[in-house]
Amino acid sequence: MTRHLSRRTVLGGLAGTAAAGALAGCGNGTATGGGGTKGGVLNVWGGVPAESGPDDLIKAFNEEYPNIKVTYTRYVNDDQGNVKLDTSLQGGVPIDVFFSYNPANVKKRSSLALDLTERIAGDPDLAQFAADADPINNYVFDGKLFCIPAALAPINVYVNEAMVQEAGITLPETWDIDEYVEVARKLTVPGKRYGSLNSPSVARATLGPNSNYTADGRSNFAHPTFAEELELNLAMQKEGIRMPQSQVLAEKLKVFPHTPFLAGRVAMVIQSGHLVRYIGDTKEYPHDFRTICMPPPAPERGKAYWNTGQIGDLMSISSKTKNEENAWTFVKFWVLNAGKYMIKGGRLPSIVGDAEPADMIAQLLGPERDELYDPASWERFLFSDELKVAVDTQFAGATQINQIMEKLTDEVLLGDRTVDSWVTEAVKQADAAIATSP
Amino acid sequence: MTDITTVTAERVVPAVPAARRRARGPGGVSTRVGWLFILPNLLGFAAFTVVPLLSGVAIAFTDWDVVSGFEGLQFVGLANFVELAGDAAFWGAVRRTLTYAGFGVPLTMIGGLALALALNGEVPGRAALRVIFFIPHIVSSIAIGFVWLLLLNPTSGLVNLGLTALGISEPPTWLVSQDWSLPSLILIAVWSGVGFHAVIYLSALQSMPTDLHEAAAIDGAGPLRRFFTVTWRSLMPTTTFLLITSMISQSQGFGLIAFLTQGGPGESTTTMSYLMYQNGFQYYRFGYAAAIGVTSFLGVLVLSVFFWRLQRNRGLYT
Repeated sequence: MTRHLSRRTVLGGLAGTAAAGALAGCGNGTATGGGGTKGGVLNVWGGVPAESGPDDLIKAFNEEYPNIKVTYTRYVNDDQGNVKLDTSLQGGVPIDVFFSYNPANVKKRSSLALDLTERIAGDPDLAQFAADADPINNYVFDGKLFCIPAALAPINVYVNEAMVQEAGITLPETWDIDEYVEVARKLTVPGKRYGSLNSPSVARATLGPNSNYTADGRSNFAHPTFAEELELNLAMQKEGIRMPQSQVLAEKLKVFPHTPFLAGRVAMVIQSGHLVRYIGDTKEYPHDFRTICMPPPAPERGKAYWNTGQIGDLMSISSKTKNEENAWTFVKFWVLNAGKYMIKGGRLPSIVGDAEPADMIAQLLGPERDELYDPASWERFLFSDELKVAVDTQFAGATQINQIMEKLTDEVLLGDRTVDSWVTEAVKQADAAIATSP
Repeated sequence: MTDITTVTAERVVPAVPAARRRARGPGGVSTRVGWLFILPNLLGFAAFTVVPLLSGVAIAFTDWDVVSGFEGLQFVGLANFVELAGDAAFWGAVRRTLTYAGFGVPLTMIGGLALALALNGEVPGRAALRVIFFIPHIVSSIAIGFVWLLLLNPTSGLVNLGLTALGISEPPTWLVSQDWSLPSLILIAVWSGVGFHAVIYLSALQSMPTDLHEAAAIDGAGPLRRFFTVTWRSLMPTTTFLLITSMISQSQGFGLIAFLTQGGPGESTTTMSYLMYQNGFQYYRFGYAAAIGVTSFLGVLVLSVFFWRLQRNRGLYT
């Protein structure tokens, strides 16, 4: 069901809030950050290209606060880019505000960032990001907040509408994993295309926040849902209804999952929202079908489950800033207005602000939305009461654990490791990573 | 007799004035001017080689995550090295590095020598062939990676299409197979290095005096005997140079691995250099990464010294 959201309502059900409570709106136009208008220069470092939204947002900010000049520097959000940001922050390069794109990096940079706990707690506009919010919508480290999320990046299923019609399938509005597998089976044409590029999540979708950790902080990979997920992957691969992992790796499709989808070599892809950038780029990726947006399938029919996406665009203020008030004004302005300026770059806001759902969908899908997408399906997914993204609070060895899981999973799908051995090895290696994490 | 020698010596080597001797001697003006000439280079060498090298060694004895700055440097003594000794991932990486370099270096050298010997004779289009074989050496590793990624694609790559056409029903899946990924990387490294080795060998072959060959031929030595007693022994200094530089370069091989396999599938291509990168740039364990680097450096140093000593007195020239 599509709902009309008022300003400052969390998009969808961010982090389990289900966006039910529309907070008090206050006026039209651009939402202001308030606070320091003393003037000065702000240096902002982020990973999004300036032309994909930041330029427009900063222009709007400058109209509101003409005495605060903002310089935006883009760093590439990869290993080297992140080290560059860290050494710049550490080395005294003038940076007032910076973005991180995963919670492990926020934790790592907490010694270089201002503690925002009190500021967030004292601001009713940002109440859902407070450290004691229930459910939690921000990353909390030892009871403190060092960032505020400006974006929401849920995972969805991209479906080729022409293939669905050709197969005579009527898609439900929601589905479970069995139904997903059945649709993938029907959409598969042996030797020509696979029904799906990848397989749905079982473990994270079932367990939600901190799915990789047990209650006492050790690795949780002995939980049966992890093995279940691998068995599902193997079964789909064996049946030939998902692309074999060898092909996924050979074509680097973990990085470029849009290419087989837009070339019609797979009918469905489970992925985050950034694929709209490629779907909308019809010059580079010409295609003649519309894309339907479906929610990821539920592990168990009728039972609530977690979206495996995350809150993102995590904004922090450098502890070395000399413009703390201005920096806070800017951060708040960004969070409250991302819905107006950042969507065109494929980034959904953590707070809708003044934007109307229909306008947001229009911005997200672009002017050719009716030719390239089924817009109603996007609105249905993004503004669903069912959408809830898990927000972790444990991060010991998180980066290393993700890599361990990825490598071991590749080995299973390539036929070099059994599921039982995956469990044993994942527990052992992840526990070691937790023990040695800085 | 003594007098005559003294007179002759005075005639041939006139006495240097004491003032000039002082100027040229240690601490003299000439010495200081000489130091000034090499100072810019020396400063660069110190700033970009000596200091980073010593810093790297020092960091290996610390626990450091960069983010916490120099204040966050914690001296941990040999703890990183002790952890390395018990780290299965490290020993796996050592084994894979030895395999990578152990096969890659000799194959590149044999290929380079064979190519050089072939191009040393009267071959039509020799100059063009030299350029063609040298091209992979000057092309970026990313471009090489792209080409091989396409060639070695399990389903649509030219290599497997060719093998299938030859009747091999299940050809290797190359870069996405745990068994074949490292051999694939060795193959690519050999392919890209052979041309450079051939050019170096060729220059050595062409500067080799022909009289030794002629003398050996007159003495009745056949082509094989002439190769092993004259050519191969003459090439010993070149071979040693190529062996040591290739060993250093392959033990540090990173670009192709990072681009093509990221150390996978599984850990099948995680060499020491990639493990070092992972620990430093991905896990922010810079102390541990530096310890891997120091260990790798020591390993290469020992092997270099070993090969250097091994070749002594085995060639025609030293």
